[in-house]
Amino acid sequence: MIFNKIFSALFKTFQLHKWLIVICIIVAIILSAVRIYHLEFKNDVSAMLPNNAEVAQYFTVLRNSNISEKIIISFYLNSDKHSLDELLKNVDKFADSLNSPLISKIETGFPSNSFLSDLKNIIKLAPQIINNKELNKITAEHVNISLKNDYKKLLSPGINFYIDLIRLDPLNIYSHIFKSLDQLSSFMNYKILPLKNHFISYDMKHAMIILQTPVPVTDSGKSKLLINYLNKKLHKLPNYILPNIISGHQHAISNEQIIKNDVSKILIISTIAFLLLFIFVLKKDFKCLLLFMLPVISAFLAMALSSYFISELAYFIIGMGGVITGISIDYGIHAYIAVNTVNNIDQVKKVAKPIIVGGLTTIGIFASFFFSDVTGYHQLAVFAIFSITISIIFALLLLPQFLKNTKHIDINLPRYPKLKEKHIPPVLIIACWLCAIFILTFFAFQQSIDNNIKKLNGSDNSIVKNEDDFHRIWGGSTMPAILVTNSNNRTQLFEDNDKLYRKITKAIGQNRYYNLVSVWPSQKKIINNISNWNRFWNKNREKVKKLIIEYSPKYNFAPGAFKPFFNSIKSNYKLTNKIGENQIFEKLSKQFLYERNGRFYMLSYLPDKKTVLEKVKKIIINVPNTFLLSKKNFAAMLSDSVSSEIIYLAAIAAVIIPLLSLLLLRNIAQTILSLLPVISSVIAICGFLYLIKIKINAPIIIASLITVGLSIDYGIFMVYHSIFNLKSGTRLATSLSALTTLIGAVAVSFAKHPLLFNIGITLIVGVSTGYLVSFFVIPAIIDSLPKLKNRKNSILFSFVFLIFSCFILLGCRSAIPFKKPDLTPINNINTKTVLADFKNKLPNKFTIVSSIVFNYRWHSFSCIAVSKIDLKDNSIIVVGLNQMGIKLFEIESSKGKITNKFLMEDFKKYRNFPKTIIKDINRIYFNNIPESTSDIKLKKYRINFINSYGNGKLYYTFGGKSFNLLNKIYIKNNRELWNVSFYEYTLIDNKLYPRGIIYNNTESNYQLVIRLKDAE
Amino acid sequence: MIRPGLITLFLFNLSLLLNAGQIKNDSIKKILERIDTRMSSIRSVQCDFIQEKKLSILNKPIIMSGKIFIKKPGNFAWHSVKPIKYSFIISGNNFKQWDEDSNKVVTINLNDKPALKVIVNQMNVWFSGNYIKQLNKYSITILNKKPLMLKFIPKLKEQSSEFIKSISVSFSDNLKYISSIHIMEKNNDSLKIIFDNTVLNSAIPEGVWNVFNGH
Repeated sequence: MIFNKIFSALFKTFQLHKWLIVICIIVAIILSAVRIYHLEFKNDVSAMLPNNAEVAQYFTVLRNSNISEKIIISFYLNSDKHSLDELLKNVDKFADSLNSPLISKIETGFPSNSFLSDLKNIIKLAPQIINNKELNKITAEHVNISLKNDYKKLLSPGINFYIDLIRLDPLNIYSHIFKSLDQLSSFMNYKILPLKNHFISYDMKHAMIILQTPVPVTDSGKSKLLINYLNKKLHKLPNYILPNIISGHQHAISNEQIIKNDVSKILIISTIAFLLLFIFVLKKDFKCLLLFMLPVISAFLAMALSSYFISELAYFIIGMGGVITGISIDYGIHAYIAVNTVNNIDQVKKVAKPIIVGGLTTIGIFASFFFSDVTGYHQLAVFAIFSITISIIFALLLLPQFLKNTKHIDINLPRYPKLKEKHIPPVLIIACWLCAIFILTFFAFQQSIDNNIKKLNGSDNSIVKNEDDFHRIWGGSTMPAILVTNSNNRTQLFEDNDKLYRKITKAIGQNRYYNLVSVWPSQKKIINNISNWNRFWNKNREKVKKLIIEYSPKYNFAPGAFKPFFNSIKSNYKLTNKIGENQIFEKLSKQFLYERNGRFYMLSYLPDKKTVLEKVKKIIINVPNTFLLSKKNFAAMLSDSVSSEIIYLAAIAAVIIPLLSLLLLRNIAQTILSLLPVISSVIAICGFLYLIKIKINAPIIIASLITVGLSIDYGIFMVYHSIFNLKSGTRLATSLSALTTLIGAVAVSFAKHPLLFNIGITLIVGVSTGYLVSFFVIPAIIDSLPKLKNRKNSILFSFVFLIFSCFILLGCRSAIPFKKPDLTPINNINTKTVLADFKNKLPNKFTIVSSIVFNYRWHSFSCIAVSKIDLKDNSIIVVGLNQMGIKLFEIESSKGKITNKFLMEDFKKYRNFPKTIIKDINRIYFNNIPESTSDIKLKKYRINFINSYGNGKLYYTFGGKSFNLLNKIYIKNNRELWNVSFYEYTLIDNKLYPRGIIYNNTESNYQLVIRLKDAE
Repeated sequence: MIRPGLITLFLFNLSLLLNAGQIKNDSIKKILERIDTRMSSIRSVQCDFIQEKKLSILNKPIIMSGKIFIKKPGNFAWHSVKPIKYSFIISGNNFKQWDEDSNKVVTINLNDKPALKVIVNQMNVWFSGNYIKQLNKYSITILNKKPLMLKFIPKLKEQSSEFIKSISVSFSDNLKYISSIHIMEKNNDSLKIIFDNTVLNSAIPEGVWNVFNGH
């Protein structure tokens, strides 16, 4: 009643002032146009990724470290008639011609005067770099071997550039510096020849320049200016030189261009389709054009309004504009059809409630996006909520005012009653629907998450091809893992890295770890090195000189051959030339060291390999302000984050939709019926996308949630229509709504950009399913339960639905992420032998690295655990790390005594956390051999052993080809308190480890999913 | 062990000869064209060599001797027997070297050693007698007409001018092969290689393409 009164009052106000309102809207449109014209859109893939600490850290380091804001231009000499020198001359000419604020720095090559002068300059710094270990190796034997090797070098054919090097360093004491410098220059696996002060490719056909730019890759406007500027300059190169620009900016431009093209394509397809709809379905009623205009105006106003809440709108919002328009047009269609059915504008009041209910549930879905970690979802939510709200106001209050004397529409749709006339019983429709749902549910559970963020990049293939060509010539396609250390104090940062360098090179080898401190140690170490240097040479200078003079004749060396070496050795070296003042070191340091907001960051590099990373993670556990960035780990982390997002948003949607529907419909049975299209469309999306080999990713989640919003609308309208037998053209309106959305979705599916394409496909599947279920299944169910309004039937229906839901949920729960064991029948088995064999294969003392996913209610949290377990000594040490290698906890237990060595602040509030962890590890890894006095039950495929344990009983199940322990269940007072299942047993160093473990604590209602990563 | 990089330098210097640049003197150009024409008919070369290195760093010159084998396209073998046994063989993109002292074979893919690859390619061009168009970086003078002896002086803009004073090359009477090379370095070190007993277009024993069997 209140609703009707308020609505009538509002409707009357709009009726009285409709032209004034129209003028206001026109003014708003003009203001919005001005606002949108001045808006800056952002093209940043990170906006579509979960905004958690790890993801942010990864992107922040990539951005700040100057890795991403570089433009590389590779120049190919495409002619045998021209020389490398000509190529280099042109490259220099091009570099000189660059004069724009868009380019802050140009690097054409390594700074070098000449090989020898470079060497001399580096050697001048040797006392600061060379440590005691290097000096102490200078013995009589070392002198003899070194001079012999030097002589052998001179025996080679041809002339020797290295004669000067031999003169300078006959004892090879500086070689460590040269080796480290060489290694540091090649940390990114690039194949670059530093020749003629240029970067030259190994095939000597390419030269490279590196440009630094202040333009962020996410700024597509400036990116375009920058690339256009470069292209214009490159155009002046002779035609035998082919340039290839490699930069993130090109992706920004290409993505923008592709989205623009896609939007044009979508607009053309949509316009044609809507035109056909207008001509053939709406019987050329020109007033229905308002239907299409109002949502577009709504989207336009919404975009301008959104810009006041969001600083930089993502391009993806423009792309989604079409989809949101497709949704918001539905409300207008319902109002239009309602008015036209009986040619009375008051008729709109009858459909107002379902329209508002449908709109609010859709808004509820978008509101749930605010709970997400993805900033892109927040933007979409703001835009969609504004757009839908404005559309509903227009549809219910403004549109009907202009629909007087419209053409009466009577369209023969393939109505469900007609199927009934053809003797298709409702039960058959329900049976077909259930069949389809069960089949699709099966496929839906096979779905997986796509963690490849490159798939969100819609850049043109030519850019990707150019990048492939570039890496083929220059290498660098495999990115190393990055160890980031940071500190407020630069001196401290170098000292921390000194320590790390020592430990890490010891663990993984010197050749695999690239840290600047290998040639540029901390100040403390420099002073120490100088002191050692002076002490060593004060004491040994004459001795070494004598040795060289003694061995020189043996290898034909002239008396003054090594004068440059002795000149370089000064025993009173003072710190005058700083390492950072040397051009080569200064340039090199930029790849490793940067400062942001008063904080210093040191990047060091190592191979992105699991075994290497595990070792490094163990080292950095106790080092503060240090974290590891691995592209491979990042992918796994992203996958976990996207999975969490799906669960989280789905859970919110699962709560919001039924609650809103129930609140607005105030009837359980009607609410459940309205939800059927929603559930069906979600299952269909997951199952169908699996069949067409599309994995779930962020855009698909968004589209699914939109589909959920639409499907609940269809459900609510059809439930209303079928139960209350409304004469307001709901069937036609619902069909038209679905059709318009499908037109939008089909148009979007023609998009080249993968983000829009995925959204299009998801909407087609979801909306079709939602519509078909609403149109056929809901009336069929209502027909089968004619007295649904009856309370008793309503409860019965609710009960049936709950059983159905439980069935689906149980199917969900049974999805175990490990391979189930192949069970073999038990014939004449000796249980003692089974236990003895199993016991022999189990390790007694072991260290394992595993990933653990902790599931508690709707929460999910994952970490990496390093556990050192000694079954005989009953001791456990467990260290938990997050994916970035940051330590979360370290707990030790020895013979029942638990010591909490480290606990991150967040965990401290859980007082029992250390005890619980140790208890769980005990339950999982200890007591895995049943006692000899156990009760034994032989079954067809399994052997059960039952032991008394504490105040309850422990049930063991053995089975599989090798008869290993499959699970343990603890029951106390007829209640299961916990259970552990073991999967995928594997032999590591002849000991048996399960690759997968699932531990369910039914008492506290949480689950641990443990995946073995490494064991020793 | 002898570094491949040093061999590279040797080959590099040989190649410098071929890069002799802009030819102002028509008669030199004609001579070089004649060399090109004559050498183009050569399919294989085998000869003895004596290399004399005079280095200020050493008391006495180092004298090395051995054999060289060249087979078009792209095969080159250097087998020295004195003062140590040492071999290197280039076959296509494959570079192998061995020395008696270490008794180890080191194999290098020329694609990974681009500087070496370029030099090998240039060397092939040289022995194919197709180098005139590349000779644009050196001033070339005729030291002697019969037998022909040319002197290549790197131009100042060239990096090689930092360490090479001049390169003198003597040709056989029929201009089909080189009889000696003499490289003078800026630091007064020098290198001289004399080729003797040269046999052209004759079958080369397969064994020489094995770093062990070449001796």
